[in-house]
Amino acid sequence: MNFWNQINQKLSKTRNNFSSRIKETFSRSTDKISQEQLEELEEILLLADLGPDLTDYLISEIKNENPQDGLTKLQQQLTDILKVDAAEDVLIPTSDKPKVILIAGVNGTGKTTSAAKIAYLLTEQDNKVMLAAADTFRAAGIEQLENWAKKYDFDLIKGQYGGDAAAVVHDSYDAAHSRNVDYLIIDTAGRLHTKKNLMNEFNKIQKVLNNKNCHRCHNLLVLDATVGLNGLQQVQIFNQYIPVHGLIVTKLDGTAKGGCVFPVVHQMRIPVQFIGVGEGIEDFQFFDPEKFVRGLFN
Amino acid sequence: MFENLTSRITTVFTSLKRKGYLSEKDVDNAIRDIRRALLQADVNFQVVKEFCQNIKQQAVGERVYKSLRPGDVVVKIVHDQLVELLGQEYSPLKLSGMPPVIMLVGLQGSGKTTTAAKLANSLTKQNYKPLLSACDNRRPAASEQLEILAQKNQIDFNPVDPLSALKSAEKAVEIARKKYLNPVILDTAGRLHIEHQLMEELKDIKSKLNPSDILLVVDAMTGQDAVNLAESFNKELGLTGIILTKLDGDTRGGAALSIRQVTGVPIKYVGTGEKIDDLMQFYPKRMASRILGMGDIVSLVEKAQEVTEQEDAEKFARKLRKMTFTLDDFLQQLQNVKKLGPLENVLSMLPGGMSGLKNDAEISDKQLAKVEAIIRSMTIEERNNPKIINVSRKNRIARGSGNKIVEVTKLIKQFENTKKMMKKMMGKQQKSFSHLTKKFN
Repeated sequence: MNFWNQINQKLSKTRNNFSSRIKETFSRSTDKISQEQLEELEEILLLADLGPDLTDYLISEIKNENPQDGLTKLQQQLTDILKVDAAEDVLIPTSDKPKVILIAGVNGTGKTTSAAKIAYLLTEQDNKVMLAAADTFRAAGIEQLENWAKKYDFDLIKGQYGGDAAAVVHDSYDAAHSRNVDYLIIDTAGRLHTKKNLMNEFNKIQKVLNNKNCHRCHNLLVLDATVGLNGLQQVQIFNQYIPVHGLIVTKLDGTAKGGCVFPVVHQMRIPVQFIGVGEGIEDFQFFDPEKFVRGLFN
Repeated sequence: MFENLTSRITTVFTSLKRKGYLSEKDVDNAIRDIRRALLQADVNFQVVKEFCQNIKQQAVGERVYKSLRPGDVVVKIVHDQLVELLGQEYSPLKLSGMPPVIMLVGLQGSGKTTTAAKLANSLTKQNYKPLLSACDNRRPAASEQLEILAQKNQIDFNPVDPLSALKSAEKAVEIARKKYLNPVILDTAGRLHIEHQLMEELKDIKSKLNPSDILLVVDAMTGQDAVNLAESFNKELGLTGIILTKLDGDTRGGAALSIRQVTGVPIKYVGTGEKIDDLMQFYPKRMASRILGMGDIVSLVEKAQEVTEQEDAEKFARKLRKMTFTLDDFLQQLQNVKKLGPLENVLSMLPGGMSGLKNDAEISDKQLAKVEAIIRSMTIEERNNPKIINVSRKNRIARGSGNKIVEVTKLIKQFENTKKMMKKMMGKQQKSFSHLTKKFN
């Protein structure tokens, strides 16, 4: 006898997406949310990667409401969580050019693609942009960015494999400065946040930038939408090495809805600034909390 | 690997084991804590629910309450359930066909290309001659990435046909037949499981080349969605196995614990680092022990055997017995330890409170490097006979290795002490020790 066989059937129920399930749950009864409804809501929120802590909090917030108000309140709460003011607007250029945007994250989240997409976005707004391929570790990491640069005619400064990422940052900053570039976008190597030695590389990059009198580097951390609560750990630890100013959530075109951003933003108070929604270079948007939450519920 | 979950569950167990008698409430509380620990660890909600129900069902049986050590019984129940979740026995690759074809599939950024190279490398060690074939004509420089990895490790490589993944794969099989290479490893483009057109491409390759192994590469840090994506891929392609990557992060094990259970597809390998050797075969029982903080000694011993030449080991054992081992032998042993990977990883395979040791491990790695530098700064004569090292020699060694004289003195003293201790041990346990070394060789 195997209890596990039943799981598959039960899962098919949960496979229906977040919005339809939540609507179904809240459509029943009228005066007060029942215990059963709360349990269903717990399941829905947990399955969306919100994590047990935030789920408990949200449920305690709405448990005394009637279903209608409860739904509205939940939606409001989730939106409020994501509404964090950015310490600095990415798009406002600094007085001394270039403004530096550094892209960091664990392996395979989509840093290189995001770097190219931001370059495209900024170029579309009539900025002069330069890319720096500072991923000197992964095989063909540089070629990947180079291909994007060739295709869309971005300026690119690259290093050598096995070389020093900080040296690439140094060279590219000088180049960007002398060519009067508005934005310098640095693509760094993916690294797991648990690898201390790799994380320490950020200190060196920071030092190089400080020596250039560039103290306002805008650091963006790339999170994969499929990531679970581990995403929180990633943001926490990266933030210990470089101040993370904003998040980029990638691969939102899949079935994962990026629910991990709720616990992350809730706890870290770091805003999501961009989202990636496809493989094309224009599949990249500024993040809008209201639109994002509405998208979850509709 | 799984530290978070491990430390949480260990806490639950410690408080259980302290009690001589367990009431139903104690068990309920423990299960509630385990449930939360699993949810925090990104284990799929449904899996957690069933898991806890199963534990409860077994625990409320008389077994726990009548047992003299009820805590241990609960631990055993949880362990068995974990093994059940992870899939009981190790499941090897099929590798059938002429030549056998392995197809790697998965989402973007899960680590397919790196895994393809690691897999080829591990098969080379088992005397296969694999052919790595790039079939990703979408991501810029994906083919180059695989080519670089293949070249670095002397593995045959077939570049991608920029127009068609299927043609790349067919050509690879042709080449493999001509050159007697086997198996062919296809590194396909990353794709979302809901993109039907791209799924068709994979199905095409599947029906034309009939791969014996279709492996889904999954990022171990994936959250609740891991189950959905594995199911979609399985439904479309009929997976034969799963490879979990990036397990060297502080991944919580959610994907590892959920996917096998929900899809029924076994986990075959796990990726544990960025280097080419960082791919391990997946043994459910060992993994369950590791999650519960009981360590994984079996894997550690296997790894040790892998990095040590048998001849060297025998020589060292002989020297130990005759008490003729020198600083040079000591250095070689240190290097063997280093080959096992960072001390941090080694420690995580040992049972017990590894979390406390972790910070020390970082220091110890540095100390190992220091010891190595000191010994390397000695002449061969000095290594064989440390007694001749006088002040002037010490001075030279210290300067040569960039250390203080005190540290050189300390190392020599430690070495002499170790030797003395060995002598004592040898005298007492000559018989049992030689027996032991024989067993390990």
